This record gives sequence, structure tokens and C-alpha cells, in this order.
Amino acid sequence: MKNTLPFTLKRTAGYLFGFALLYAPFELYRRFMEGVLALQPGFFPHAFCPRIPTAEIFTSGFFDLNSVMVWSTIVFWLLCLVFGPFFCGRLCIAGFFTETLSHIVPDKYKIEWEKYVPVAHIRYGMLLAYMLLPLWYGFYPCAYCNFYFFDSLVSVIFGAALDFTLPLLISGVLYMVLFGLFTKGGRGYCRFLCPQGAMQSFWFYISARLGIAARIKVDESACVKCGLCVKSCPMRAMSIKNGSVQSSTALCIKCGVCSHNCPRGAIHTGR
Amino acid sequence: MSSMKTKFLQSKDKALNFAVGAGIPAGTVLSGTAGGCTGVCGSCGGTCLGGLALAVYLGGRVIFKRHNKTVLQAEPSANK
Ligand code: SF4
Ligand code: SF4
Ligand code: SF4
Repeated sequence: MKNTLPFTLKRTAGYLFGFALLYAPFELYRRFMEGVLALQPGFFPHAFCPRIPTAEIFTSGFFDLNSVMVWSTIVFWLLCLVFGPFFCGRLCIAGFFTETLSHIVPDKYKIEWEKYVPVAHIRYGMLLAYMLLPLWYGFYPCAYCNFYFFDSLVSVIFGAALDFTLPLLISGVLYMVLFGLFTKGGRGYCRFLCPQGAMQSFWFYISARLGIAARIKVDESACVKCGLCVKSCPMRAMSIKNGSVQSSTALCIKCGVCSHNCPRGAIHTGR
Repeated sequence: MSSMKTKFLQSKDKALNFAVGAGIPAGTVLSGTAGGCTGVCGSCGGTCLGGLALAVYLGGRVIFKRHNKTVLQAEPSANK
């Protein structure tokens, strides 16, 4: 039996670092910007929120944003082009939280959405409209935002009073219950509703095709088609198609869970 | 011929679901609350409708496909 503890601890440490970087009361990113670089990141409580620049990408609003926010986002997207969705795969506690939560519910009670809908098509349809909407109808980025919900949850834990409004409650139920607890992999929100994740994957999809970012690859000669990678992938990006195991760049967040679980060491990253 | 038909139906389904995805944010326009609303602060109470509509749609697909026994079994193969 493979010892998963060191891998799990390493993953958890990355996500906790992401948590300390962006969320109150730590907010290391904001403190660094303000304290060391003497810059004002703006848009609290999210010192760094790429959802807003993503929503404004086709509008003049993009360049009206706080310059730290614009530059942070541009650098962030460039990093996604080079490394893929590293934020989802290594740092975003909001996605890791529901992934972890989903382990509470036995698999037989969880839904495998891929059996019912083409998830990636819903994901990118949502992203497209999310980006186009501000052109005609205004601003939309915080609607049922899981970051905001998670941020609120953390604030409550650290003693802040919170007014649980109906939209916030709906965000929470969708994020934690339907798309967390009762979704295989626990990342239903990531796959359906998070424009931030979809945007990162979009850059990854392009750069992997251009041979810039390394993607998940399976060595067919070593693979015994046991399906463990498919079963363990939190984004359900792995599948067996026509007898070969493949990872979809439209969904994969390069978290490394599949390669860790492969008993044959058949999974690696490459261009 | 039947494989062509299957491909056509699959493409149609993908296009439909792409439109459903687009409808999540776009649907907020119907609620007339997109302008200036943050959705989570409680100031409008409308933008969460897109997410709810998605949940209802997905629930409907699950029930429909189970009822008609058209649930995809083959892929991802190990997820039974
Ligand atoms: S998809 Fe969104 S919520 Fe999920 S890990 Fe990525 S950024 Fe976080
Ligand atoms: S876990 Fe490894 S051996 Fe098993 S199907 Fe996946 S790649 Fe092949
Ligand atoms: S295919 Fe592998 S690296 Fe990609 S999301 Fe799934 S488990 Fe993570």
C-alpha cells in the first residue's frame, strides 16, 4: 500500500500557503504590497482578485482598475501560460477545501457529473458569457463567488460578525453541499462555476497546444489501465478513451494526484 | 449512418450545454439585476439565480438520464 501521507502533507502545505497569502487575517500578499513595495492593492477583502479583471477584459474597465490589480493579473495569466493552472493545482484553498470536504461522503452517494453532462462545455460557455456580459449589462464578478463565501467563512471563524444573506447562503449550498460533498472529486464548483479556474485552464489549453506548458502524459507501454488515476482525479480530467488513458487540458489543474496514485509510475508531465 | 447520427447528437448536446453555461451569467440579465450588483452582499438578491438554475438543470439531467437509462457508463471508466 502506497504511503500517501507525505504527498498529502506537501499538497496541504501548498494550499495553506495560498490561504496565508490571500486571506485575512494573514493576507501576506497585501502586506507585502503595502509594507514592502508601498503599493495599495485595493479591492478588499480580496487583495488579489483576478475575477474582476477577467470580467472587465473586453471593457475599458480593465485599465480603470487599480494598476497593482491589473499588473498582478497580467503576470498571473502569463504564469498560467507557462506553467498551466498552478493556482488551482497548488495554491487555491477554496477548491482544496471542497475537495477535502467531499471525502466525508461515501462515493456511492456522490454524483459523477460527466455521466450526465459535458462538463467542459458548460464551463467554457459560462466563461465566455461571464466575459462578454460586462460589455452590455454591467458588472457581474462577485455573484455567488466561492472566494467571497470562503472568505466570509474564515472571517466568522476569526470572530467577525457576518450577515448571512440569501445569495450568500445559496453560494454556500452550491459550493459546499451540491458541488462539494455530493460531487465526485469535490470540485464541482471549480468545474462548473469558477471563471477564475476556467480562465487559467483556457490559457493552459492554448499553451499546451503551442508546446509551451507541460501537460499530463501517460506512458502507454507502462500503463495497465487499472483506472486508479481516473478514479482519483479531483477535476475528473482523466478518462479512458478508446483504450487509452488521457488527461484533458480543459479541466486538468496539474495537481499531481493522478501520478501519485499510479501504481506503475506511468504518468509524467511533458510537452 | 448511425455513428453519424450519434456524432450529430453529441455535438448538439455539447452546443446545448455550452449555451447552458453561457446562460448562467447571461440569465442574470433576465432578473434585471446585473448592473452594479455584487450578488453576495444582499443588495439585489438576483444574481444567484444563474447558479440555482444550473443546479436545477443538472438535477433535471440526472433524473432524466437515469429514468431513460441513458447514463454514460463507459467514460470515465473507473468511476463506478
Ligand atoms: S477553479 Fe476556482 S475555486 Fe477551484 S481551485 Fe481554481 S481558482 Fe480555486
Ligand atoms: S493509474 Fe497508471 S497504470 Fe493505472 S490506468 Fe492510470 S496511468 Fe494506467
Ligand atoms: S489529470 Fe492528474 S494532474 Fe490533472 S487534475 Fe487530474 S489528478 Fe490532477
